Parts: sequence; structure tokens; C-alpha cells
Amino acid sequence: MKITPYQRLRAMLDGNAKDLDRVPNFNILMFFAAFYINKPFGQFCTDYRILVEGNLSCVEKFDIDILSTLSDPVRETADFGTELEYPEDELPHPKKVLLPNIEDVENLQLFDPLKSKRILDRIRAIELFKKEKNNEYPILGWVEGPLAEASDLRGINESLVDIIDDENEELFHLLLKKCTQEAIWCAKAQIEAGAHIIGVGDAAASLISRDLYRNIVAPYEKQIADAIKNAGGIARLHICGDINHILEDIVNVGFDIIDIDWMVDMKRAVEIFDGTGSIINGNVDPVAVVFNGSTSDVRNAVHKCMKDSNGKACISAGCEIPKFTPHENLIAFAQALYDKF
Amino acid sequence: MTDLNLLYEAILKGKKKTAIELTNAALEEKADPKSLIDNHMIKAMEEVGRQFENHEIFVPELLMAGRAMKASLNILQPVLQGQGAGVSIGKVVIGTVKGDLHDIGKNLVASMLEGCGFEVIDIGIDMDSAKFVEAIREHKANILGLSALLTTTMPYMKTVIEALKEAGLRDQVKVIVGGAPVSQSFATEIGADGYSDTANSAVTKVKDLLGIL
Repeated sequence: MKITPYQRLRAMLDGNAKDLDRVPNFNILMFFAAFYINKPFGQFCTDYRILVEGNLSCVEKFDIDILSTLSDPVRETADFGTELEYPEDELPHPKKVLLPNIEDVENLQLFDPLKSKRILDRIRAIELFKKEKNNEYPILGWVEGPLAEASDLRGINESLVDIIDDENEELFHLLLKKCTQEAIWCAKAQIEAGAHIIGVGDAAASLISRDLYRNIVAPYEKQIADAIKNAGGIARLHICGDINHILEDIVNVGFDIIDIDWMVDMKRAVEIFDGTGSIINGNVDPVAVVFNGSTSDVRNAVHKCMKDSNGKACISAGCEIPKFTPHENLIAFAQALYDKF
Repeated sequence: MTDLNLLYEAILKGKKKTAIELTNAALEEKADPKSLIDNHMIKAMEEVGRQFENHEIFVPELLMAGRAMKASLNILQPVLQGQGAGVSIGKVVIGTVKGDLHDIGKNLVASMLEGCGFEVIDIGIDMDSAKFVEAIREHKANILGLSALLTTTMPYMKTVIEALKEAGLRDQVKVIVGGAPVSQSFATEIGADGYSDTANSAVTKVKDLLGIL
């Protein structure tokens, strides 16, 4: 009997990867999926039916093992009250930040995901995936992590100063607390809608020191991870960029799946997480290899990840598959996963 | 007498208030502003760059140091201008190319360049080629820094370089490019003069291109 992508992931998480046909292909598609079905990216971000159509078309063609609801990082930002621009074929972005002054945090209102606009659109995508594929594929919901959302609301430069500036300590913690609470509500609503996995995107965390991560960001991320797991979901952490310096601290945060970008040492990451109950996902270079490389470069890079992880990691590009990636490269990516060593 | 090592330390540690107090105190004691900049403040930013490159400090610390540096420079610049002296060792126009809204990398490079003695004109994000050409013409910059984080926007760097050629400005300005998906081979392919993958190496590259090293 053919194994389903959901069963493949379950086996990985349960430590039974040995007898699998291959490890999961966890590539993230956003711009690429919209382009693949000839739809403007703006529509992909604002209409769950387009997002679902794009992902369903791609997972079948490119043998990918996950149905993703990812489009852009400013869904919660919009629902918090930030006015966005929606260019036809680019990422939506704030017209101006919602919290130009740190004192504005006190007036920041949380929202009900089921009465929101953009998170509700994501929930609708989850429901449609569930209707179309039920439990054949793992469905990936998404929330922004505490530092990422704080940065979207305050501006990245401001938040990275706030985090270290003693004068703003109390208010910045209040902002992280509010972002965390909202992330928990949004995660729970997506799990109730049928999401199996909730990804927590906290890219800004790669830009801070180990001390700041451990003492300030990690405790909030842990609250989100715990809430996802308590609600019956699989918790996945995605921090793109170089996180070599915080890998050991991420262990204690308790996510089930840890994404690593291409500049992270796969071998070391797998060793650190071995026996912790968490698995690694990554980490082919999305630009130099998947986008710009030949099919043979892609195959070699996938094989290297498989060897370095000793079959204990899901394999994907370190971050989103670029929009104009040659199709033959994604096909080579999927085929390489079947090779045995 | 103000201990100027403390000014170095204040900038290195990103202590803006202390840096302002020490700069004002040094000026009251008739310290030479050019010497303060060259021998203490730029040295601090060079050390910040070194520590950043070696992963001893990270972006927040670098931003705080840049903020302290800028606060002190804002006090010293009017004094230097009053003396008829300039502080800049070169003029840089920097921006993120059209369709791309990312600015953290660009800001880090701008901050390091400013901290190391360059005048930096940051024209912002999502900038089309006409804006870059206009800025180069207006500010008579020696260097143009182009930033992109997306694979969909990095090809626009070539459009900007072509626009500089059409405007007859290409020979007057050196172009450096950077951003996560950008590489040396891409820089060479589009005809840029330089590439750097960190804020610190951007400073070295700019100095190199201007023959300052």
C-alpha cells in the first residue's frame, strides 16, 4: 500500500523513518505556486482559493509532502490594524508601521481570529485543504513568532533597538506578550480548522545574540510551542538565516520540527536534536542551488543533506522556493529523495 | 580632562547618552573634533564591525553603536563645518531596488559606512532606476550601493546599472551590490564593481574601490 505524505511525516516524528520509501519533501512554495498557476501573487495572498489551487497543483507535480497556507508575513499585522498595500504581483506590505512609538503598544488591541480578515482567509484555506485532501497530506497553518510580529508592528530597526534598549524594556515585553497571545489564539483556531502543523515564523531571531534569544525571545516562543502541542498540533519553528549560534537554546523551546536555512550546519543540527523528540528540516541553498544550479547540483545538494542528517531530517530548501525556479530542478529535488545510500 | 577612551567605549557599547555627554565635554575642553572622530569614534566603529563579522555581537548591538556614533557626529559636524573642514571620506548613495521592501541589510551597511567616515545618502526602499540616477547626479556620489533580498528583485540591479550608463554617469560612480541572494558571480555578471556579504566587508570594499586603504 502506498504511504501518504501525512504517514511519511508521522513516521519521521515517531522515529520510524528507517523503513520509509523516502524522507519528506518539505519545500515551501509561495511566489512559485502563484506563478505556476498563472495567478498574480496579490491574489494568492488575498484569496484562499487561489492559494489552495496553487499548492495542490504543485504538490502533485513536484512530489511535495505538505500543503502550506504560507503567503506573506503580514497577515496578523493587518488584522492588528495596520493598513497594507496589496501590489498585484508583489508581497503585501504596511503603508506605515502601526506602532511608530513604543508607547503605542499599550493601546494595541488583540483580535479574534474568527472575526478577522487575513487570518480568517488562512483558516478558510485550511478548511478547503481538509475538504480536498482530508488527512492525506499534512496541512501547515502558520503564525508569526513574537519577535517577527513585533518587528512587523514596530519596524525591524526599531524592534531590534527596543530589544536591547533598557529604557524600553517593559513596553517591549508587553509587545512580545501581546504578539504571543495573539499567535496562540491564531494557532488554536487553525488547528481547530484542521491544520496538522503550525509553523511559527520568527526570522528576526536570527539577527540577535544568543543571550537575547535565550533570555527574551525563547520564553515567548516556548509559550506558543506549548500551546500548539497542547491543542493537538505539531509545532514547527522557522527562523530563516544563520541560527548556528542559537541551536542549543532552541532545543529547550520544544518545537517538534526545526527548519534550518542553508547556512546552518545540518550535521551539527541533527546531532544537537538527536534524542530530543524534535526533527530537523532543511537545508538546500534555495538561490545558489535550487534556483541557479543545474539538476545535477540540486541532486548533489539533496544527497548531501540526506547523508549529513543520516535519514533523520525532512529535506527542503532553506527557505521559500524562488518564483522562477526551473521546474526540472524541483523535479530533480523530489527524485533525489528516493536515492539510497 | 575627559577620558576619550570612554568615548570609544560608549560608541562600542552603543551608549548614546554617554557618547553625547562625553562629546560635549570634550568640545568644551577644546578637543579637536577631527581627532575625536578619527582617533576614537571611527576606531570604535571599526571594532564594532570586527566584532559583528566574528559573530561576537549581532544586529541590535550594531544598531545601538551606530545610533551612538550618529549622535556624537551630529554634535561634531556643525563645529567642523564652522572650521571649514569636512568629515566625509567619500559620498555613498544607497538604496533597495524596485519591488523590494527589505531594508535591514541596507541600513546596517549605511550605518557602518557612516560610522567609518563616509557621508551616506540613504534613498530608501523600492527605488526605481530614475531615483538612483537622480540621487547620484544630485549628490555627486562616489559610490552607489544597491540592495535586494529577493530573487525576483535582484535582476533590477542590472537595470539600475544600465540606467547609469544611459545617463552618462557610469564612469563617475562605483557600484557595489549586496543582499542575501546576491553573489560575487551575479555582481560580475551584471557589471557591478563590487560585492559584499556583510556590513563590515562593505566598508572594506568601498575603501578599496576608492583607493582609501
